[in-house]
Amino acid sequence: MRRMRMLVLTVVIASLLVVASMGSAFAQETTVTVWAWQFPADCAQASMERFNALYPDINVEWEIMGPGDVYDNLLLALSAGEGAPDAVCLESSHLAQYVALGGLLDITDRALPYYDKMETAKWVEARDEQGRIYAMPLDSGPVAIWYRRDIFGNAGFPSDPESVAELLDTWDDFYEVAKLVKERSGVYMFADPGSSDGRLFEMLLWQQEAGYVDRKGKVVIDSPKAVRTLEWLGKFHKEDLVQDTSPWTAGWYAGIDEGGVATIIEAVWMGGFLWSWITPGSAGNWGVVPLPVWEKDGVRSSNDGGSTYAITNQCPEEKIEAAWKFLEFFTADRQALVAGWRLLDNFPSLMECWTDPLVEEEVAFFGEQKYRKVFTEAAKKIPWWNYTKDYSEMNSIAQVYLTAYNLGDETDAQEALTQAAAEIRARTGRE
Amino acid sequence: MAKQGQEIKKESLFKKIRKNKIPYLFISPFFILFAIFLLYPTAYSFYLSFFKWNGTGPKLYVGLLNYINLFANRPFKQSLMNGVIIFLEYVPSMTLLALILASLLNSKYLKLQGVFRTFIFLPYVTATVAVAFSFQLLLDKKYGLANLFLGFFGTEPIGWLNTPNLARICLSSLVTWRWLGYNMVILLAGLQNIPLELYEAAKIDGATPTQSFFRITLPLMKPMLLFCILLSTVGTFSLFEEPYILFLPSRGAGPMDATLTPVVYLYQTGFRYLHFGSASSIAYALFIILFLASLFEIKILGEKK
Repeated sequence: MRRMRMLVLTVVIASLLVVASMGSAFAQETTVTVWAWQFPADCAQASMERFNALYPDINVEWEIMGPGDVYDNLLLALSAGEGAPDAVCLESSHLAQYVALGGLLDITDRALPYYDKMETAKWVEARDEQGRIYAMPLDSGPVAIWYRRDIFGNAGFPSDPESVAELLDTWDDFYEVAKLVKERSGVYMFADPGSSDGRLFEMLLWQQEAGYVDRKGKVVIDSPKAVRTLEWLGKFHKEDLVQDTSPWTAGWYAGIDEGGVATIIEAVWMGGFLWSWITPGSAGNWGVVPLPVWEKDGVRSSNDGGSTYAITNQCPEEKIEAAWKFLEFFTADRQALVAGWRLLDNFPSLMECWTDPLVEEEVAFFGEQKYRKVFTEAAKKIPWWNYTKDYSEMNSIAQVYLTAYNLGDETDAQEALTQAAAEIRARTGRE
Repeated sequence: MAKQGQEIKKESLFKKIRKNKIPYLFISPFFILFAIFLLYPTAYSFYLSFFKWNGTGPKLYVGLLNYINLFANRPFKQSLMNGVIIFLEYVPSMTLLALILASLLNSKYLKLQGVFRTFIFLPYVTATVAVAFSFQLLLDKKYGLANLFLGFFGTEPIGWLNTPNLARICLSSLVTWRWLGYNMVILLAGLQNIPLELYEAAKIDGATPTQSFFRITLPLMKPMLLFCILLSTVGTFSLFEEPYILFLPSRGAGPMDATLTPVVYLYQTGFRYLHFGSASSIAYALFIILFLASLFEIKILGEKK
């Protein structure tokens, strides 16, 4: 009797299990986990509804954390062999490190159709030495000059974008204007810490296609172009022409908000930060002009930052298709990218977005300027640059020698960069 | 013969454990957690320090190379130097201040002791992000309160956080501000253990309060002071959170690596540059250095028998 009861019970449980698994097979809902920080997640949120309507069987589970935590946690998960998300947002500056680690899924065949549709500089870090592709470009960071119309006006300069662009034709002109702005109105031209974080220096080098390494991976941070750039930046620090404060600190925000700086040399995503929370009160006073050039016919474009989406190699086989759908939608769906662009100045790497009517919109915050046009033009000319897997280490080494030069501990720019190059070579094993 | 003896001994130990298995079961969670989260990582990182490893790929055996490279490594040497400078900048003054505050709070003449104690201890439990933001506000070159105040006396703006020596002083001040209360509480506990009769006897013998401080308080507090100084030594070389949040753009390194502590450098080497082998060798080199420093301090300050 007891045995009979056990048998019945087993049959009942077994059939329940079968029904349960059939149920999920009918629903076929796949959950894709995504790690990202607030900025890309906010931009994606604007199109989440469309994504859900298009792919009702894919459920996206966001896990939002600081970018630093994304990198640390991803590293631990890859190292442990489990715990990584299916898809992850990675900045271009960190991407090469994770490609080199072998933690990302090879998506060459799926990504290849988009190869010619994306801004070309974005693919450099997404590929390994064999040319395989591991990430989809999300946004680019074309750089221009954000300037305060009121400060230029008060200093006796014209303040409309056309005239300011003419005024700031070369970086030498920029320096001369900086001196006059400070003299006439007591306002610094821009903010940059004497204790350098290297970011502005890198932007200025990127404009000249003169980064840490050349196309063969050789260290070239001691090149004549780099020396001239450091000498130019050093002048501002030595002559007290720059607000000496670190980006993303209280004094930096205050300088921008209170009109303590006349310009910001920064990428397009700065716009979203400016009007949404750093300085909503100064609406209408801002304008955007292209970068000055280093020599006649030079490139008026550079890049700072920008991110990508990748699938990790821990994404289970049966979920790869869903994870790819997520990647494809949020990096290559024109409407989704334009939504993020409008929302927070998340500039699409997908080039077909650049002809969107959004570009022609006049924006009140920027004095009714079609400011997105400036960045679109700059994006078309972003020079080649490779962050490489050693970027974090090279940047921290450069910081030391740039600071030594800015503070006058090292008086010769060539010597400072020669030392930086030597240390980079010794520590990274590069030529 | 000897071997046999050992086996008998082992067996008896095992037997002992079996006999007392219930008590051992009750204390086992600590040992299990200790083994998993401390013993294993400690041993594993020692093993790792002889390899080149990026965190996921194959490990390459390199012998003592990681250790040898440390001798020529500029940031590592700089970080040790920073540790020494920062230690001298804040440990003696903070410990003395903590002792004075503890004595004041221990005296029966002071009112509202609980309130003062809480206020002095408060920085220790304040969220670090808020601390960082406040200190940046305070120390900014153009908009900082410190320079505004000095400006009244005609001083030119000072780049507190942007020059190596001042950056280290700012960090030392932040550490003092944050850890003063913690040290004070330890010393206060020590003070409360000194029998009051000693002071009464001294008073009857005609000792002034200063005399009883130097002749009674100080000698009896020596073990507590030693404990505080030992903790501060290890704490200085292992400073992480404070420099990291105060110098976020350089990930804790500060101007020209002036606030790069050995543990910040260890973190960068491991988690930012993905050289886990060298990071492990830094950990062990640091362990040896701190071990020797502690021995030295115990020898100098410890009780003579």
